[in-house]
Amino acid sequence: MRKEVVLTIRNEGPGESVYNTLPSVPGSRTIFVGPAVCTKHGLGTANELDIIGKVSYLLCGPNEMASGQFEDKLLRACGELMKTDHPECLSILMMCQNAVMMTNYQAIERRIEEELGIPAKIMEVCRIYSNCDPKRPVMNYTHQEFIYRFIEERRLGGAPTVNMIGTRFRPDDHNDIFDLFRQYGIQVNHMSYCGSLEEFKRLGGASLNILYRRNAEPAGISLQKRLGMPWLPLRDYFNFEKIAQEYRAVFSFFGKAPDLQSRLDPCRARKERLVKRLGCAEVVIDGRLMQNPRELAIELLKCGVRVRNIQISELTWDEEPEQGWLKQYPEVKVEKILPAFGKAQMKLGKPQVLKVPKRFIQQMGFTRWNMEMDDLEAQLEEVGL
Amino acid sequence: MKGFARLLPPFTPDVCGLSSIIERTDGIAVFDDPHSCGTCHFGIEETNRDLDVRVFVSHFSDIDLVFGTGEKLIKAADAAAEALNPAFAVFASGPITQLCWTDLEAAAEAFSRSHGIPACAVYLTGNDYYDIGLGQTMLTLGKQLIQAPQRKLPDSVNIIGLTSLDFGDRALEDIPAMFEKNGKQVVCVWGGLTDFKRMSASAEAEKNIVAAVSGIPLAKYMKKRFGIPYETAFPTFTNSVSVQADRTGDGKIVIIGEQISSNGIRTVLRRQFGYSNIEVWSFFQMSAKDQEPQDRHIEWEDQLAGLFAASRPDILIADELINRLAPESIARKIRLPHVPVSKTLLPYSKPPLYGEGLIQWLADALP
Repeated sequence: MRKEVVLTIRNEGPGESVYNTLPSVPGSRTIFVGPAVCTKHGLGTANELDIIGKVSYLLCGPNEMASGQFEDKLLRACGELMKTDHPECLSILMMCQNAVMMTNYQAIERRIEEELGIPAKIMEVCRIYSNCDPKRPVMNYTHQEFIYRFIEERRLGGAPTVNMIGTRFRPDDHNDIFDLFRQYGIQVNHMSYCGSLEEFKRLGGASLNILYRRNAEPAGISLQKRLGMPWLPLRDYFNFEKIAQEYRAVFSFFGKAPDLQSRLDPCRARKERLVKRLGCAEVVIDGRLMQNPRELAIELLKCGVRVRNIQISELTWDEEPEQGWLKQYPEVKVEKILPAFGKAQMKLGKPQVLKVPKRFIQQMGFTRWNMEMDDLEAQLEEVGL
Repeated sequence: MKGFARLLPPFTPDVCGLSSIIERTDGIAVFDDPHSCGTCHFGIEETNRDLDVRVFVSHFSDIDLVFGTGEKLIKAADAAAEALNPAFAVFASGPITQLCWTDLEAAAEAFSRSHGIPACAVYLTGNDYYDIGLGQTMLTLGKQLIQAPQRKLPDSVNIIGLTSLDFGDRALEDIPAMFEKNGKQVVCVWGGLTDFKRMSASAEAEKNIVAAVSGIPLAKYMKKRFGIPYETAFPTFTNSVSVQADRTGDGKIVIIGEQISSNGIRTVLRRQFGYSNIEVWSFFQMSAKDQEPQDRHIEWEDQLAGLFAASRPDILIADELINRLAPESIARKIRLPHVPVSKTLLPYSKPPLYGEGLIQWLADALP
């Protein structure tokens, strides 16, 4: 009988939530407009006390919403914040009630910008859309797409520069691809390096945007459309051959061709060892707090590892599940775990409470691949495989 | 500015008051709601992870908002009833239903007819605080479920408003047990662990003890309808402890929290610790009858700064998030965790607000 092994990737970080994303715009202040229930429960996704002092709340009743009075109230609230906190820009979150009433967000943004003289951007989150047929996105912008809306012009600089776009977390400098950038004299930018909105706006001058998470793609596409900034992905976590392809594409953009063979050979050997260890096991992938657990499943299945089950939850950041892949592997079951967090369901039983990590170090490329292998090997060690 | 909180995160909303009550009964609640307005409570404010889910949502879409959400609401209630076999059902509204006005009473009536169990409607906005939700839910359930009494039980009480949100889960078991130990039979704990049978029999009690302001509407209804007298006093069970010292000159204490339980702490501070100058402030509903002249209702965050400046307390007893907004000049800030204020953001560990535990906690915290 095969031994059941539960595998997960433990270094995925806390993921994105509007509560953490909006305040991460450098120099910004966030205002959450809505009823108490939305503003309070949004806190469930917040990074604990980090958000205190970065987010303010404007509670509006149904009458204020329906009559449009909330707009004047919002302007007054923004004015108060300007006096007390002097933000350089405002990110504003509005909820289902505004969506139902088809609020004209652009008009409000314009009004705030004209009256207060600072950029203001509104994000809408409407949970009703998740029940539409066909489903519509719950948010009118993805997290990263919203953040980069504050970059409004292309200011080309002289030196070759890349923007790393993916999460708000500071990437680790001790990183394989960063070493190569340094070697070739390419400067690296990330939003976490920016202390003010003005510094953040300078990201508009980069030669290339590198998207290291799949869910950052809309940000790259939007910047390309609006400002003509080219972008390339660096997002395949579990497939080192693809990572190498992505490296080649990035460096060929700058006319460079790094030697990747010295990185690929150890990866190949390491993967073979892992597959061998999993030879007599039946794998369950605990993807409840993972990015794209399906990608890990596919990589293992391709090598002949028997994957029986993938557990996902509301907190699985599977932004773009690959439709149809399950047809190739009908033996793999996807099991959705009832969370205690987020969407309520017509399922019964006790919800699970998932502990989301609050801090993590952002890695990418081969360094990230090797960290994931360390993690998987450690888990096999724990179960004696 | 009314409705604007610059720093203080919003408090637990009314819909969670309803959820927290229903999860501790043998009934169900169904929210006319697109997603999780009423049910997020389970992952955020709920302190008892062993409870089963008894609160559901209709998951309506934008098209339903035009053609009516009633069908989905009944469908969700039918599915929940089939699985859980509840003793009663509550249909509730949320912030979106406020804009489309689903007829929840019609849905409750239709459900009650088809399932043969009582059902009622509670209209909530999602914009009021938890205490309003608790109060409206207890009152609606009381009107729907309490039967005219066949008998009166001697030395019996109902405890109204003893909720996990205000007092923590341990209190839901400890306080009724303390009543029983003192020779009182507890017929029903409204807001705490209870069931349809106990709620229906509530009118058999001789007296109602109101533990929180949220319990007052039901207590008033029971007084009018069944002639049951009520007393608003949080039962601290600390009478056996003697006065320690006269601390009349030791400065002013301000307690910020739910009014009745804060009054309970004030009584203990006066009687057992000898403090005299104590004010109770609250962001939540306050009962004028239980208010002392110096007590204050706080509307919004910016009012708090003005109150601190005018009142200049020496000791502040409040939730940690409120303590952080208080001026540095306050010599001692004592942390009194309150689920509706900070459960999401801070680790939750509530001291017992009754018995020896309360005395010990105050003795350790006070200068």
